[in-house]
Amino acid sequence: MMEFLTSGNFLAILGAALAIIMAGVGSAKSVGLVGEAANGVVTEDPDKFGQALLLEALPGTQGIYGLLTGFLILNRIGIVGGTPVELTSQQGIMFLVAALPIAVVGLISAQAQGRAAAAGISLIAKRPQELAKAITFAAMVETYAVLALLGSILMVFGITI
Amino acid sequence: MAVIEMNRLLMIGVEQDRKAVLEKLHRIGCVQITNSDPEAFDALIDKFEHDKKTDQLDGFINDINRARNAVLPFDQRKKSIFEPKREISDYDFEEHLNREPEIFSAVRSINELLDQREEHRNEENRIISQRESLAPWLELDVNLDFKGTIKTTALMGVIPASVQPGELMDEVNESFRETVIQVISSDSLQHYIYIIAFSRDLEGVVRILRKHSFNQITFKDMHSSPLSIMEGYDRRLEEIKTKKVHIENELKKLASEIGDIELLYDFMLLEKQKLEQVSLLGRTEKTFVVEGWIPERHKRSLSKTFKTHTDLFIYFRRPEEDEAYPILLENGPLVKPFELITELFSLPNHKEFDVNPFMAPFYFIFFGLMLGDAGYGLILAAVTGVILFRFKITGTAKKLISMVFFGGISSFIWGVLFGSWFGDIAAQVSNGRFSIGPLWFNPLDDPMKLLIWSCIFGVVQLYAGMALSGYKLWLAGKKADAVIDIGLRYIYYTGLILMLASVKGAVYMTIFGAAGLVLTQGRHKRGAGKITGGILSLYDFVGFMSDVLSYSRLLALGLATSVVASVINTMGTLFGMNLLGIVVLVLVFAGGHVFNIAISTLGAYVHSSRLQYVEFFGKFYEGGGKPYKPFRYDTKYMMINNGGTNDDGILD
Repeated sequence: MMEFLTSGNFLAILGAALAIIMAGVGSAKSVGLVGEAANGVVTEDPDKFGQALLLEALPGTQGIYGLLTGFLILNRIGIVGGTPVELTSQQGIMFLVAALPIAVVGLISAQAQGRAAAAGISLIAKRPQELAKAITFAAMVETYAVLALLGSILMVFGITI
Repeated sequence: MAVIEMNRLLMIGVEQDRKAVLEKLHRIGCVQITNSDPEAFDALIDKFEHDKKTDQLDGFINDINRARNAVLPFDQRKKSIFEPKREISDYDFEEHLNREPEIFSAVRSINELLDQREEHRNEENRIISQRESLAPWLELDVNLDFKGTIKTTALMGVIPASVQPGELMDEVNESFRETVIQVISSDSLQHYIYIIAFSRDLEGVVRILRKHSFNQITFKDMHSSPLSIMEGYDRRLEEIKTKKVHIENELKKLASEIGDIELLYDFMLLEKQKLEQVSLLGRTEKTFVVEGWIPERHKRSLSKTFKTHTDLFIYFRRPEEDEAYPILLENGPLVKPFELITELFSLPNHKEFDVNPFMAPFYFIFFGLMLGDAGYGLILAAVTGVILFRFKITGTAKKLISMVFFGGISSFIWGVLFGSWFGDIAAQVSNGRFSIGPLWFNPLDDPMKLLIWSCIFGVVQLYAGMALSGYKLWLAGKKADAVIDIGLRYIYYTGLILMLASVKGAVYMTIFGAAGLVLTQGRHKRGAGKITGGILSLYDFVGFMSDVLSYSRLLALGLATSVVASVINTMGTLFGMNLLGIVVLVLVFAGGHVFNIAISTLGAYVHSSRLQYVEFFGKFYEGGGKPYKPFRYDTKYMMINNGGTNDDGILD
């Protein structure tokens, strides 16, 4: 059992799973949060559906970034599209570590962005013409998820097999 | 490509011409009426009368709108999703309005029908709830207002289902033998019972009943037996049903008026707009004053319009230096759509130049790079192209759709360069036998290369931003500042960047730039600040680099699109190339790629905007201009062709 747990392939898949799980959880929670706020506004004014949906979609990207990183890892180790590669434990740990930036930053930035977007919903409730500003505020948070994604991607590409 | 020059307009006329003058201003639609001192004439305006007229118009508008929405479902006209405003000539508009009394009577009839329908609905609900409370008593063939005979009293009521009626009856009969208790019906919650007792026993009987949670029930205003009342209700419901069908048919008939109803709605809107402007006019007892802004180029057509008004004084002047005039932008068709991005941020103020021509190329490139797929680009461009070509859309919607159109083209170009067609669809479907190669390189093979290019794009845009801030200084007459501040930074930053790229000799360039900055950047400070200010300016490079790194999102989002696309392709081809596999393939491709296009386009829009707002505009742009909003025909359904201004506030 121990041998399996320290096998490179298991560790790499664990990394992929972590990226997908944590970033996905973060996005799910915050898309839900913004959705709740959006329901309130749409109750008053159904015409705001499109605008509210746009804001709701914003914190959803972290989940995609997580999936993307996970997919890249699986792709590199040949589980998806290609022939499976036998990894050493060191390589496995490197993949695991490479997944951490988007996993952790994705989880936390999604929630922070969710709160910013939910506040944006109340902004468009009163001033629908200021949608772009609400989006920009929420998008500022996403920068860090994008940077973490970039870090993860570069690491995943950089590990030599 | 510029901020359009505005003139201050002053018109003074006699009171009896006021209405005609206002009407003509409304018609040509190129003057934004603003009163420099709105309270000065307050005493002369009959506020009460004005408010009354406004309320009356609002009432009309509400009524017309209600009628229009009610007959809309029966509208027989052909409609598309992007329904443009109907074009109508000035003359036809007036012609249709000759029917105003008939249209109004149609509106009134519709609203009356709606009121009736509302009443019927209420009655229906009332009856339905009464039917429910009456239903358990159907078996009772006694009139509901029967209170008893001379010696006896009759009671109706309920006891909880947990009470056994037989035992209750026994208990009552023990003390009051002549009392009759009959169970009319029962449901899961309670028994419905009817009691006849001698009036003298009543108090005692009720006491026993109460012990078992008896609740008396009375039906107000119901006189006959439950069954006959129920039959009455059913008849009434039938009647209401036919009446509602009748109303529906009437509404259907009146729906043929919808075109004219919309026209009348627009007419009322125009009336209201005129009324709103009246309160902005200056007045004396015999004269009125119009103050406002007019684009320089429309001065002549204004003068021409009022040629026949001999006792109207018209005067134009240029804005004074610090006078904030409203902002109207004009750009060619390639730049115009991107005005939207600036409008959503903030219009340039009256001292600034139009930033759009400088911003648009960057937005175009970055949007496409972040989407970065030829297939997606083609789809976006095709869909928006069809919308632009087939439907007459105007205003913000047109800008948005044209912007996505250009973004699609840009994405197509980048996709061809990167060899990304719906991700790697060709390779996946053909199982690796066939693939569309990149014209330049595939970022998935060499992400570092694209990262470096992203940063180079960033440097180019940031340098452009710095150049524009220098240009602003230059325009403000600080030519030396422009050259020293911006020029030295160029040398210093470029030197450092070349050092990073390990170019020989770059170090001398850096030292030259740095020395220059240290010597000059403290020049506006005093004392020790002269030295520290210069040294501290060297740290600006840190801020500059963090701005440059922000452009790494170009790579990240571009990769995100193509990797998600390949995920979709991989999932779609999981089942192989048999019949089932192809069905799955088509479904997954259709759903997955549509999803990816939507989410990636949103991402490309959001992040290209951010790069403009924060990194680019942050270098030089102030904004804060107020948009030019001329007093003109602003309608909802009709496009009145009157030779006035178009949607962009420019005379056709």
